[in-house]
Order: sequence, then C-alpha cells, then structure tokens
Amino acid sequence: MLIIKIINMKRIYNLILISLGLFIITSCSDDFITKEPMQNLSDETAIENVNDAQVALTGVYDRLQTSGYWGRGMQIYADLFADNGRMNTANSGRYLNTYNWNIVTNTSPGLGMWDNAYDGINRANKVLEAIESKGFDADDLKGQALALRAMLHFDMVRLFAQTYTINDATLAPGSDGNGGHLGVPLMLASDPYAEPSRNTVNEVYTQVIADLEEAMTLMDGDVDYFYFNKWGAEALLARVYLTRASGGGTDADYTAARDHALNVINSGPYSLVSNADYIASWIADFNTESIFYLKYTSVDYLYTDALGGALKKSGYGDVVANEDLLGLIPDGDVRQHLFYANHDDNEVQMDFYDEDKSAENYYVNKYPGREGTDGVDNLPLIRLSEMYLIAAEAELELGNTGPAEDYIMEIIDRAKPGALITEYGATLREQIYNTIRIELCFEGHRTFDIKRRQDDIIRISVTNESVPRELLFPSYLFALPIPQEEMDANANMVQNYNY
Amino acid sequence: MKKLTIFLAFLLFVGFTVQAQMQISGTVTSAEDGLSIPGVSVVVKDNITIGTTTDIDGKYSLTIPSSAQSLVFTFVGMKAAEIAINGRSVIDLMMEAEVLEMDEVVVVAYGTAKKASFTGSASVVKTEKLEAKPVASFDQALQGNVAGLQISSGSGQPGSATSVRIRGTGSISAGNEPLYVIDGVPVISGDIADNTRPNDNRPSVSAMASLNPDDIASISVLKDAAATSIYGSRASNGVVLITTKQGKEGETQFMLKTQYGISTLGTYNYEALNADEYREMKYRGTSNALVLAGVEEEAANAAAYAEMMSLGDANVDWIDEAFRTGTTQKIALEATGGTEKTKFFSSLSYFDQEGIVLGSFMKRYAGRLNLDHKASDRISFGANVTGSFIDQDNVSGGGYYNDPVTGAYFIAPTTPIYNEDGSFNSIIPENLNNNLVANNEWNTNLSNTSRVIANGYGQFSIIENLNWRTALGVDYLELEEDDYLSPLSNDGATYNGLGQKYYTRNSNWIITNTLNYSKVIADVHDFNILLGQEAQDFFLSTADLSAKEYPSEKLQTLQNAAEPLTASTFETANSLASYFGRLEYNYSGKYYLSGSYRRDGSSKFGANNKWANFWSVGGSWRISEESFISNIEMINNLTLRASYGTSGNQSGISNFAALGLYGFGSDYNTKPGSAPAQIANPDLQWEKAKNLNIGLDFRIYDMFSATIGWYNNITSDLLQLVPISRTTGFESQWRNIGEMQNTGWEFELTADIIKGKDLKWFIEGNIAYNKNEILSLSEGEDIVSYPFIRREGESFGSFWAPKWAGVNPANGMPLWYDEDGNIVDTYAEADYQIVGKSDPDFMGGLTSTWSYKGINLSVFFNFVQGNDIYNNSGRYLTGDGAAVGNQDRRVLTAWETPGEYTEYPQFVTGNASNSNRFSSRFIEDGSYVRLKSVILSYDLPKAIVSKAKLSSVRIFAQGENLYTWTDYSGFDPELAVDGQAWFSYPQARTITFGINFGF
Repeated sequence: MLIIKIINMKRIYNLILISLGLFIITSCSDDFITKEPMQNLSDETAIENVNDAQVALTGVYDRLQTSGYWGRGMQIYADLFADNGRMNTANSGRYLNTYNWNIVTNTSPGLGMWDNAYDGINRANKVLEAIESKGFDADDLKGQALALRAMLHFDMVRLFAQTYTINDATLAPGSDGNGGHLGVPLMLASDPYAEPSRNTVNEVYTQVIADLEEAMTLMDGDVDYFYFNKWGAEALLARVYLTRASGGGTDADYTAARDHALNVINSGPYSLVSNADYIASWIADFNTESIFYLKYTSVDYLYTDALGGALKKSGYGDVVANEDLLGLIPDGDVRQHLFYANHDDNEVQMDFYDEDKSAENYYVNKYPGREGTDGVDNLPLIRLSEMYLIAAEAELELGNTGPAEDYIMEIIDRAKPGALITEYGATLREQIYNTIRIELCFEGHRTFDIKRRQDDIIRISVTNESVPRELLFPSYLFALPIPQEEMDANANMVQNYNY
Repeated sequence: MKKLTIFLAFLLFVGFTVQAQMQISGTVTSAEDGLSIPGVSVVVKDNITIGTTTDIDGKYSLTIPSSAQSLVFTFVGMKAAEIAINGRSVIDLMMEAEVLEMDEVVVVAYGTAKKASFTGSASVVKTEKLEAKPVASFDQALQGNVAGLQISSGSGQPGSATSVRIRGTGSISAGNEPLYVIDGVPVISGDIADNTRPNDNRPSVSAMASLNPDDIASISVLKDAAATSIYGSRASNGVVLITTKQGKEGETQFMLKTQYGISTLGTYNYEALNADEYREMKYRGTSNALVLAGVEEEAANAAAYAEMMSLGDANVDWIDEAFRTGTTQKIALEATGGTEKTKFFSSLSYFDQEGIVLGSFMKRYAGRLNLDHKASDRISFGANVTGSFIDQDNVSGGGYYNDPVTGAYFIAPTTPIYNEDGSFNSIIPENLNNNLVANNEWNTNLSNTSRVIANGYGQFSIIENLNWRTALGVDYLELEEDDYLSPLSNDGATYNGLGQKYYTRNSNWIITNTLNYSKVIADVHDFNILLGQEAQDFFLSTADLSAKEYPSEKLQTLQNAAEPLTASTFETANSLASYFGRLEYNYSGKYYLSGSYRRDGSSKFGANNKWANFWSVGGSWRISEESFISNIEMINNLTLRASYGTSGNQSGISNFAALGLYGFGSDYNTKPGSAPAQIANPDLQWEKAKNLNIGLDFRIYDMFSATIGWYNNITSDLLQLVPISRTTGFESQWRNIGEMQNTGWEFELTADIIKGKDLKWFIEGNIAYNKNEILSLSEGEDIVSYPFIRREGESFGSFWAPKWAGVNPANGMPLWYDEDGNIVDTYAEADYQIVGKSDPDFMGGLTSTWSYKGINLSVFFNFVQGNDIYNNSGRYLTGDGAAVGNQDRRVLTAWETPGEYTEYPQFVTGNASNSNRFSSRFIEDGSYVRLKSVILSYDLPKAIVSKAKLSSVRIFAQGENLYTWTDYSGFDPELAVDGQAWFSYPQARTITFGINFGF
C-alpha cells in the first residue's frame, strides 16, 4: 500500500510539473505571438544583399508594364487625345472621354498613370535607400533606379502640369516661362505617411536632369534592350531638354538636347533599322535601334488589355488611325504598311493600308503580336530614330537648318528611299514636325510634342460630328486633373485650374 | 462490570430485534410514460441504512421498523419524492421528471453553471432539436430555435456552409460569424473551400458538416458580455459552445438509429417558359424590336416568324433535367455506459445525402469516443475524440453557365439535350456553352474533408475545492478538392482536358490550464473563482496544382496530363496567447455577482497593440427568493439580470496585416521582381464591442416561463480601408475607424399548457427584434459597396439603388425616380437612393409539441420579417429581352398594348431600355413564415419492446421545409446571404422516416 501511494504521489507531482512546464512554454513570451509571413518578406528583411536589390529593381520595371501606364494608357492618351488616333466607329467605350476631351477629376485617364508612376517611384526609392544604407557595391542598379525615377517624374510633370515654358497666370498660377508654376510632388524618399504638396515644374525638371546625369555616370553602355543603360538615360535626357526648351525656352536647353541626342547617335552601339527590315522590326523581339523597350512575354502580357489589343481589329480595336495621319504618309513610304483595313488575323505580313484609302477604319499594326498572339509585343519607350528627330528639331530651333535637314532626311530616306523632303511638308518645320508625327505615332509622343511646342490640336477627320476638333493653346485641358482619389486623401494637394 | 456491559448490549440487541417491524412493497413508474423505473433508490427517512432499489420491473420490497414515518425515493433525472407511510404496506409511486429549470445546468465558457447562477444571456438548444433532422450539420437546425440568431443557407448543396449572425451585424469589413467551441476547443468554422479557386467552379464546403449532429448533447449560444467576454478578442459576434454527449454510469446501452428520406425541390418561385412559350416570347421580342426600329409591322412579324421557326422543334424541360428527387440516409450506432470510475460515450455514423440537383451528394463517415476516468478521488482524466471523413460531389457555384441550377433556367427549352445520333448536344446557344446533363456526365467537382478533433484533459484536486485542469486540444482538418474538366466538355476542350487539384490543411492546437476554487462560507457566501491561461496556434497550408492535355477523358489524375500548368503552395499562421479569470459570488441564492477578465495577445495585432484586455461584470437578483415574493403562489421564479462588458473581433485582421511587407511576383522579362506590398500599421488592433444586457426570467403558475432581454451593443474601432495619398505608392490602409450599434429585444417563452398523465401540450417560441445603425465612418463619408451604402445614421444593410417607378403604360418602357421624386424615363437620370435594408425587423420561431402515450407530434414554424432582398437572379429571369437565355413565365404578362398596366416592360430582343439594370425593382420584401418542420414519433410501449429484448423503439416521420408563406418572388428567402440572392442551389423539401432501437 505504501509503495503504491508513493508512486501515486510521484505521478501527481509529475503531472503538476508537466502542467507547469506547459504553462511556461505557452505563455510568458511574446515570441509565441510573433509570426513571420511565409509568402512575403518584412520591410526589414526584403533587401539584404545586391541580389535582393536586383529583384526589387525588377519590380520597378514591372510597374511600367501595367495597362494603365506604359502598357497601354500612355500611348493611347498621347495619340488619341491629340490627332493621330480616333475612336473606332464601333468601340467598347474605353477612352471615349480622352477622345472627346471630356476630362473630369473622378474619371480621369490620369489615374492609372499617377498610381503606377508613384508606385514605381516608391519602389525605386526603396532600392536606392537600401543601396545607400547597406553600402552595396551596385552602381549599375543605382543608375537604373535613378533613371527610372527620373522617367516617372518626367512623365508625371508632362501629364499633370502645364508645359514648362507657359506664361499664363490664370491657367498656371506662378508661371513665368521658366517652370515657376505647380508641377507634381517630387518623391525622393519612401514614406508611407507622406502627404506631399506639389513642387514647381522647374524643381521637377531640375531633379529629373540631376537624376539622369547621375544615372549616366553609374551605368555602363552595354546594349541592354529591355533595361535602362547609360545610353537610355542620355537619350531620355535629350528628350527632357527638348521638352524644357520647346515653346520659347533657352538655346542652352536646345543645345543640350541636340548634344545628348547626337552623342547617343554617334557614340552609342545603335544603328537605324534599314528600310528593308523596317516592317519586320515591329514584330521582332528587338532591333538595332532598341535603346529601351518594355518587354512582354507570353507569360506576362496583358491579353486583351495590351496596347495591341486596343489597336488591332482582332482585339477591341477601339482606337484606329486618324485619316489626318494617314494622309501625311506619301505613297511608297514603308510606314504605310503599319496600317491595315481588312486583315483580321495575326499574320506577320503587313497589309498595305488600303489601295483606295476608303475603308471605314484603319487599324494600327505597330504591335502585331509575336508568335501569333495579340498583345505579346515589346513596346518602344526609347529608340534611336527619336534621337535623329530630337537633333533635327533642336537644330531647327537653334537656326541650323542645314544640320536639321540632314538629320530629318535620315529618317525620311529610311522610310522612303529617294524621297523628296517636300513630300513631307512645305516648310522645313512642317517636314520635321510631320516626320516626327509619322515616325513616332502610337508610341506615346504626340500630345506631349504638341503641348511642349505650345501648338494647338487640330483634327480634320473625326469619328463623328459631335467630336470636338480644336483645342487651342493655352487650355486647361493640356494638363490632366490630379485624380480625385489623390485630392481626397491628401490635404496638401492643389488641383489644376478649372477642374 | 464487564458482565453488566454484555448484558446491556444484549438487551439493546434484543430491544432492537424485538422492535416491531413491517414489510412494505410497491412499484415505481414514470409519470411521463407510465413505464416502470428500475434502479430507484428507496430508503427510510432519517435512517438511510435501511433501503433498497427497485428491480427491473420497478418493484421493491423492504422491511422497515414500524417507527418509520416516511420513505424517500430518488432517481437521477426524476424529482425526489418523500412519501408518508401512514401504516400502508403497499406504496406505489409515479415519479415525475425533474424540471426544476433553475437547477438546470448550462454549459458556459470554461465550465458549466446552474441556470440560476448565470448572470449572462445564453440560449440553449438540446439534442432533441437536432437528432432527427435530416441535415448535414447542426447549424442548419438552429434557425428559429435561438432568439436573435439568424441563419442564411446560401446554398442547398449537401455539405455547404451557412452564414450565422447573432444579434445583428457588428462589423463592416471584418467577419460577422460567431466563434465555435467544441468541447473547449475553438474550431475552424465556415466555408473551407480553397479561396484561390476560380469563382465559376468554387463550391462551398462547410467545416461544421464534419461533426455528426447526433453526437451533440447541447449547444449554448452565448450572446452578452457576461457570457462571452472571457473569449476576448474573438467573442464580439457571439460564441456557440457545443458539448458532445458524455458517458452515463450504468449498464451499457446501445442505440441503433436509422433514417431514410426523400427530398424534392421545395420552395421555388420560378417557372421557366416551355418551348412554345419561349418561341412566342422570341417572336414577340423580335417583332417588337423591328417595329421599334421602324420596320412595317407585317414585315416585322414575318421576320420574327422566320426567326421563331429557326429555333427548331425541340421541347426540353431543363429544370426537370437539372433537378431530381434526392435521398437522405442515416445509420448510426451509439453506445454509452460505464462504472463509477470510467464512463464512455461512443458513436459510429453514416450519413448519405444525395442532393436535389443532378450530380450533388455528400457522404459522411464519422466516429466518436468520449471517455472519462476517475483515477482516484483527486485525479481524473479523459478525452473526447472524433474523426470524420466526408465525400462531397459539388455542383459549381451559382450564377455561372456551368452551374446546372443557372443552366436549368437559362438554357432555351428549344435546345435539345442529345443530337439525333444519341450523343450529347454541345451547341448550347447564346454563349451558354454548357450542356448541364453532359457536364454532369463528363466533369467532376469533388471535395473530401478529413477531420479529427481531439481533446484530452487531466484534472487534479490540489486541496478540497481547488482543482487544476489542463486540457490539450487538436483540430486537424484536411480538404482535398478535385476539379476536372473533361476534354469532351466545351470548357475542357480548350485545354484538351483540365485537371485541378487543391489541398488545404488546417492544423490547430490549443492548451488550456485552469485553476478553479469554490467555497461556501457561513452557508450563504458562495464563491467560485476561475483562473486560466490558454495558448492557441493556427496553421494553414494549401497546395494548388493543375495540368492540361489529357490523353483520355477516362483518366483524371494529374500525372496523366501532358502539360503541367500551375504548382503553387501557400502557408500562413497565427497564434493567440491568453490569460483569463472569472469570479462568481452569490449570497444565499438571492444575489449573484460575476466578473470576468481576459487578456489576449495575438500575432495578428500591430506591435504597439500586441495585447488586448477585456472584462465584464454581471449581476442577477432572484426576486422570487425574497420573502415578500416567495409566498406568492403563482410566481415560481422571478429573476432580474444585468451585465456590461467588452469583447473583441480579430477575424477581420488578416494574419500579417500589421506588418510592412514586400511581395513577390512583380516579375519582368522572366526575372523575379519584388515590390512593397503593404504598409506597416503598428497600431492595428481588434474591433471592440461594448455590450449592455438586461434580462428578466420568470415562471408563473408552474406553466409559463419567459426570458425577456434587452441589449445594446456598440462596436467601435471598426476596420476600414482608409484611402491615403497615392504618391506613397499605396492606395489605402486598414485602420481602426468607425462605430456601429445593434440594439434589440428578445423574448423566449415556453408554456406547459396541458400536463396530464397521458396528454401533454407544450409550446415554446422566441422572437427577436434588432435595429442596426452605423454611428460613424472614416471622415463621415459614405461607403458605397454595391448593392449597399454604408452611411452614418443608417442601417448597415441599406440598399443603394436607383428607385424604380414601374412600367410606363403608354409605351411599355421602364420608369424610375430621381432624387427629387420626379419620374424619369432614362436610367442615367435615375438617382441612387436608399431603397430598403437587408436586416430584418424581427425574427423567431414557434414550436408546438403534443404527446399522448408515446405518440409525439411537434410542429415548428420560423419567421423572418421586415428585411429586403436584392433578387439579382430576377434581373435575368424576368428580363425585357436584353438578357440571353430562358425566362420566367411571368414575362408572358409583359407589356403589349398602350394603356396596359403591368409590372413587366415590353419584351424587345436586344432591349436597351435598361429596365433590368440594378434598381429597386429587384429589391423585394424578403419576409417569410415557414413551416420548417413537422415531426411525428411513436415510442413503442415498454411491454412490447421488452419482449423483443430491446429497451426502447421509436418510430418517426419528419418533414422539413414543408411550406413557406412569402411575397418574395425569388428562389427562397432563406438562401439570401447578407440580403443578396443569386442563382443558388435551392433548399430541398425533405420527408424522412426512421426507427431508433435501444438495447
């Protein structure tokens, strides 16, 4: 009996000990109620080495790809808001407001661009901060991040502010012909609680130029079609200077635009695509003038929301070529083959846009879809032809008509060997402007080009008579409204005039 | 001296023996059924050493001293009786069942309480309400049985999950489902189907269906702070405590339960057009469209006729093809018994329900063992273990063309099922593309649930009245989902066969340590103290796999597919650490006080708010125990209760919502990319509830009992997605903002109208009123969440839609109102306004039970009143010609001639009048009264039963969802979850028969 009792007591004490043990194990510590996520990394551990930084930088490029931004939105806005595109007579209803200049704050076409660009800027800032704080030896990554941040800020200021050289106290309070009016917030550090106010246009350009100049010193010049390299940053810098100079800016800016463009032409590893290769280059993965193309694969393309889907007859086909644009292209110009009326398939071979030029709609076939899949196209963000066009326009503005004509003829002659410059316009200015318009159509330039030159948008052909034809400079419509979503959430944000 | 002692002892002995003795005997029977009761203890009062127990026939015989005054009869579950002997030699007794409801034991958080001492508000549902129900899970049997609890089925698919609201909706963005606790283990509840599955084939799989409802002894629905606060950060939506059956001391008793039944399409209001009617509507539609376009009437009619003729001469009733007579089968064997030391309850059950929609079924195999053992006076331990396996064949979710319910109403009756050669017709016009009969043959959508819920405990009495208890529980749930699209089907042909497999594994454990001390001081001060600590850990992992290109439709495993598509795994976890305590005190059974406290630390909370504190106080006053009341004969009980306290809701916080995160998948050029995915919110915390509850319990004339309750629940710190400046790279962040109120009355009544020996009539009912109001929102701004608007001062369920003004009798075109009340004739001019609310004014249930000599009839009604339902399916089924597919027969009354008043606009093919766009036209009164169930049972007389060597035999028949009174025009008002109805699997009307054998 006694033995049994002892065993029992021992058992009881053991039980108590075990229970107490469990009590201690499962309580006391905050460790038990700390869990790390399995699909994500915390902010603190996300970028710990150069490879992590590379992965985070890839995330910035990813942001450019969305259909709200460079995946479709920018190109459609730039060409449809102006005079290169028009709505198909039958359309899905997308972009009607852009085409009709019916721009209001809560359905602004700028929302997708605003969101994606600032998201991209934040991603780039996170990379820059990590490289800085952790002391990574990653000059090239830093250069790319800076160039991307510059490009995104530049897009924002082009979209949401009046042009740099405007001088109109009503439309752009504070404007002085030198970017003294409101631009967009410069986001140079990651801050989830920021409610920034708008920097001046001048401040934005200064920062963009500084970022690009620093980026150029950090990156190498190796060909890298789908990423920023040194040449990409310099080419963008040429565009930035030309944009700042246009509409009455300084000769220094025109000179800088020309010099950077020429440096890319002369020192860069790129060459113009030949006439013979020109059409095929639009379906190729890349070509000899690809400085920075936005890459899409069959895995990450945007399906029907891709730019090709918006333009092609086999897609939504919402936006078609404006006859004004088609009329500028002389017969025999290879670029006529970038438009078609009747094809309804994915054939690589381009259709001449129409023998009698009388079809109801001419579809744009710059983005025919690789491997027979609509939407799998690499979209040009910067290509060499633009450098010739920048050089030509800058020289024209500097009064150097000889070089201006030389540069523009490079593009004209490639498009139609043996063409006369007069086939493209009566004056050199017209010839240059029309060549830029034709060559870079549906690549996201047209509205910005008109705006920076302080020109008017004049549409001759429109889809129907209710569509407005003329937007005369200056107009509040040359700046998009700050999206209502931003206005609601940010007490420091000031809306543009008349929105 | 010694001799004297012996002598005296002898004298004494003789004195005893010579004292007059007498023989007394009798039979003890039950007042309820007149049957004899074996095992009743019969003792002499004041001398309990003289006694016996009744034999198998309820007979006893006892020799007692003639001085004995009376006998005391006691038996578990029966009222003890003290009978004066008065010189009789035969005393028969009819024992009455013990119905002293204030002594009734209620299962409460971390223990049990006598109903009298419980200061909180709880409703209890006993096993009788659940047992005979032909339902897969117990929650389906709760509707109408608990005051203030509302169930929406969502789907009649066997094994699908329900949605439960207790005392209204307390949260905007977080969960509104209560916490379920089975035998002390908070378990996984709700729909467990992999939420990454595409909506068009995602089924609903109920976690609760894995529990055999017959195993449940009682369900306590805890509603107020005094009852729920001790569950802390998970308690604000109420707590459902489920207690399974425990072993009973005595000889092992077996129960064999069998039940079989059939189900048919019950309440449904839609009747599709037959082929002739369909052709007629097509004709009218085309003709009308052409006339409106300016075509001469004659030419229009000719064109319409030609089109009508092109439809072919098939005549198929697709509803008939999609629906069938379902069956329900249940076989269960239960055993219970034990000794004073060891008691057990064990069950094995098989439940097989074939649904009323083609290709749907659920089969459950479940086993349970509940064991309790007393090792010594001080140590006891035990375990409750259940394991179950469910095989479920799902029809896909409602509203998609591959769903047979949707297809049944959409596919034109002029579409044949088979081609002339007998093969399936795969050309289903108007892009419907799915032949539901063929799909059922070809495609599969299966789910298998395996679940083990086990909890073991050890209890040690440290000193008298001080008990230590440690319990360890495990809830392991595995779900395997198979989705196969055959290459023969239209959907599968694109892939040449698509196989998709989803694995979900939940493994949760919990440890609970409690110390309990109870003490009565000076006979009147009754204390009970509970101290506890608890830790729970949740882990979820999923794996999704898919592949295409199948060599044959006969092979469905992914290995046979040539091209793998996806392979992805996902894991997540959270944990909860808690401390809690409760103090209960009562003075002399008159004044009761209780207080509880809980401190929860959760891995979900932000770093600055890692721990949450909750508390409650409650009190009750048993007025009927006061001397000024106790002599009023008619009042049997009168108790006033009040409680106030706090609780929380952490269900809306996803596991890592408080952390700043980088996400992956932001890839570019086939290289992996990352991006900031979430802003850290170190302040993120639980939603908070403050509950005030006042209750009154009374029983009068030993006949009527009632509980009347009033409550006011305010939830604050509601989680809201707050927009932030997008220059940060983010659009919004979850923050704790917002307040909502639910206030209401609850009445629970019972009446023993007839309490005769043979005939009894018992009525019980409940009714609950609730009013919901949003008190504050972020910056006071409305949140439009289609089809609702969340607006300060309005109900959470306020419908926000253009207001419908009917059909213009002049031209058959739709009319709406603008915000100034003017009638407008274009949809664009119509203004959105609040046009109804989804939460009911009141709801409840009423059960009436009659019994006569073993025959028992129970009729149960439930009702929901004053709620509106957005009948989204009606937009398609009562169309104006704009929508594709077949229509409800109501469109036959569509407008035809000027001056005609009708509810249905002119039927015009390709109609662009927008009459079927979202508007108050489709927001309808969802009130209903339902004859939910009728049960008729007969207990065979013991005399007959015992001849067959059985202890009891019960034969019963039961009908479920028998009839519904409603003005609602959609499928079934009970199917609408949160006030929205879509093409869902209708509930069945089920008739079952069963026999239970006890032996």
